[in-house]
Amino acid sequence: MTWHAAWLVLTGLMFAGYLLTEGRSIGIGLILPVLGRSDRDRDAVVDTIGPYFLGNEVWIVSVVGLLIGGFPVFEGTLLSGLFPLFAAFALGMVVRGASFHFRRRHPSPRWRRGWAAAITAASLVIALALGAIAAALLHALPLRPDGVLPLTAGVLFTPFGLACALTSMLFFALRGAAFAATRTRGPLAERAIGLASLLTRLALAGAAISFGVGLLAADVRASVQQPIVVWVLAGVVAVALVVCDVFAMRAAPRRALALSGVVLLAAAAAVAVGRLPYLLVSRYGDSAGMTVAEGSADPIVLAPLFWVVAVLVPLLAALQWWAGRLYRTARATGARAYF
Amino acid sequence: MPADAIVYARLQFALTAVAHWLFVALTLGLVTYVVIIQTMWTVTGNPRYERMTRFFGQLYLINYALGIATGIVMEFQFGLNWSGLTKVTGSVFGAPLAIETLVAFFLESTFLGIWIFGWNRLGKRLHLAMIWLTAITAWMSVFWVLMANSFLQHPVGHASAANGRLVLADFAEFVGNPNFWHAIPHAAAAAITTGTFFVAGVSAWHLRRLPEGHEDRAAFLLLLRMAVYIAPFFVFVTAFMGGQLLDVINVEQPIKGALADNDLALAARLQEEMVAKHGPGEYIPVHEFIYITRTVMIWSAITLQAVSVITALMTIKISLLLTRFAWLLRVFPWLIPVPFLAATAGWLFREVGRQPWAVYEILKTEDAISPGLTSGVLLTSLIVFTLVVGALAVTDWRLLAKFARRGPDAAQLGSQGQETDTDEEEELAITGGRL
Repeated sequence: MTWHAAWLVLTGLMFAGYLLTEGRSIGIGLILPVLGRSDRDRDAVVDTIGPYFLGNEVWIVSVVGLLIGGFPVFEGTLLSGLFPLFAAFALGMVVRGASFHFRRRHPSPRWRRGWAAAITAASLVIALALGAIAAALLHALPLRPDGVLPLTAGVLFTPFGLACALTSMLFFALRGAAFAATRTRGPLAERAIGLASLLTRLALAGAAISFGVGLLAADVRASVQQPIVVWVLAGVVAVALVVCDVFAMRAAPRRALALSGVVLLAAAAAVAVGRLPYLLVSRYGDSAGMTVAEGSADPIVLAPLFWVVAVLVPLLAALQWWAGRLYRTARATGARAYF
Repeated sequence: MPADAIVYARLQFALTAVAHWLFVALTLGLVTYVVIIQTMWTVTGNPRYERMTRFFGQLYLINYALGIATGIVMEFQFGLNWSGLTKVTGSVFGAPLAIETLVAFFLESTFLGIWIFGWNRLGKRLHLAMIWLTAITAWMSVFWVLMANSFLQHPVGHASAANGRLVLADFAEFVGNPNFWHAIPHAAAAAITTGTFFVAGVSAWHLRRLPEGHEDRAAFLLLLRMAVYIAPFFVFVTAFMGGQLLDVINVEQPIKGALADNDLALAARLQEEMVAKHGPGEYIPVHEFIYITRTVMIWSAITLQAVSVITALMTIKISLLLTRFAWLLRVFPWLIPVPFLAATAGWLFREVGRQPWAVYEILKTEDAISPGLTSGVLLTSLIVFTLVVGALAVTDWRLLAKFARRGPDAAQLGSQGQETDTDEEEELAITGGRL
């Protein structure tokens, strides 16, 4: 196994961690107005994610950090080439984070509702941006042989991109609803699991439409290098959504939550693995495309840095897992929530 | 790259970096004090220190919100606006940034989350450990980020690869960069100074207003005295290391050094040398920036040092400070912005002084910008990010000021009991519903 491949796996694992953890934060933000009809319900919904919010956020910072360290050429080309999508994503992160911190700092209902709305709007931007980015990656891009990926509206804003953006929103909302169902009680939990069930069906429709639109687009088909992988993972997404719905209808929120994670991971894997060995597929031919090796840092750096990261990541994950257990097992001692 | 595109990209980076440091400096400085205060609470069990921990802890948290926000903008900006830089230097510059995000920031935010939500749930010592770990990992962040920046200022430990890119060749040399080892104490002492004058200003403000016998007076007085004794040392270290760094700069970046000394003749001669080495171009950064920012730093140091030394002498006999020299207490809140002003000047000095280079004598700034971008995109990005982050920053500072004025009574962090309607009514009555 080469260092490039090892780094790819590592970054992939980190991104998986991101989807599983932050997927809950994004999801809760999305469903907040639906589930949180009253001020009290809104507080209860935010409180489910409150303790995890900071820990969840860091995963994307670390993923981008790994890209900068391990795949700097890819990172620079990708972010600048899809500039509006990543800029929107960053703005969403900024506004959402500040909104979480600001919301409870003032008792005025208008203040609190305003920042709650900002949380939702920002979460929406984040979810849509991620879907659009996934869709853009599934394109034979105008990546020139000199390595420059110019900003091209025809790549960023397509029907396929829109379909994927909306489907992404549904996938994250589903994870949020399932998570809320596991962490709330009574009528709120019932509404959450009901919402989750509805979302599985919407998500299934969204995924099917996205897949169909992609299948019809030559640019999208051209980007797929491992069609079997994509078909299999698409099937996994569909099955996972159906099973998730079954669990939701049977009021088994923890299993529904697990399945929502499978949906996100399978979709992301389809985008990433489906295009291997390319990181970026070019419409100007195979040699213009950016392979994993071409997008990465020099192996001289990859090797030592790999060990640092490989040792750290399990420790970091374990630390967050311990913290998660702490929040769950410690019965509410009446401590007032900060977020 | 058209000239205006360069201006927009540089301006956005400058605003982002300055904004980020404004919040990071206080994060670093204030967390250090929260660690001290919470340690005092844990060791003595005195409830006064618990109140102070919750008070200054919440101020630290409010400020932290924008620290993260600006940090995210910084991180994404490298890939968005400066892919030319990451392409050429990614195999050197990327490593410390990657380490920072994983080792420092990941841990810092995780520990911080546990500290916030573990209040009254964790044992007192484990809870204390969490803020210690948060502080240590926060300081590790500055270490790695400044190391990355120092490479840009004075590239060492690298080698050129076949395709014109740089790779890390000698890790020891890279880490041993003299620019870094002179910059880090300077920046670190400046951050502690920022926190110190914040604590002093807030404490002095309350001391003037709290009636005799109020439970918080003794604690605020203790914190003010602590701050005025600590301040002279760190102001001195900041200034001294600044001087040491200037010596290093005179060797590594002589044009910047010449401008700092207002020696335009020397700068002109060095310009000639640069042209001979690197071809035609403007190698002298804007002179006024360098000279003015250096002056701002020096006068900030003088002001801060004077006030803290005088006050330290006054506190030898406390009654003097609180009666005959009570007017001194009025000065402290006004000093809070001074370290921020000086730090802004410092970063402008450092970064503008490096121009026209992104990586000194290796990669010019204009070549570091993402090649696929247009002026329109960069201008839009500049405007949108500035407006959004600017609005959030102003809100954050207003919240900070509001909570600082309200005092420990208003601390929500670590408080017990669900928020009741009466609490909300009380708050509304006091604040009149406005921020």
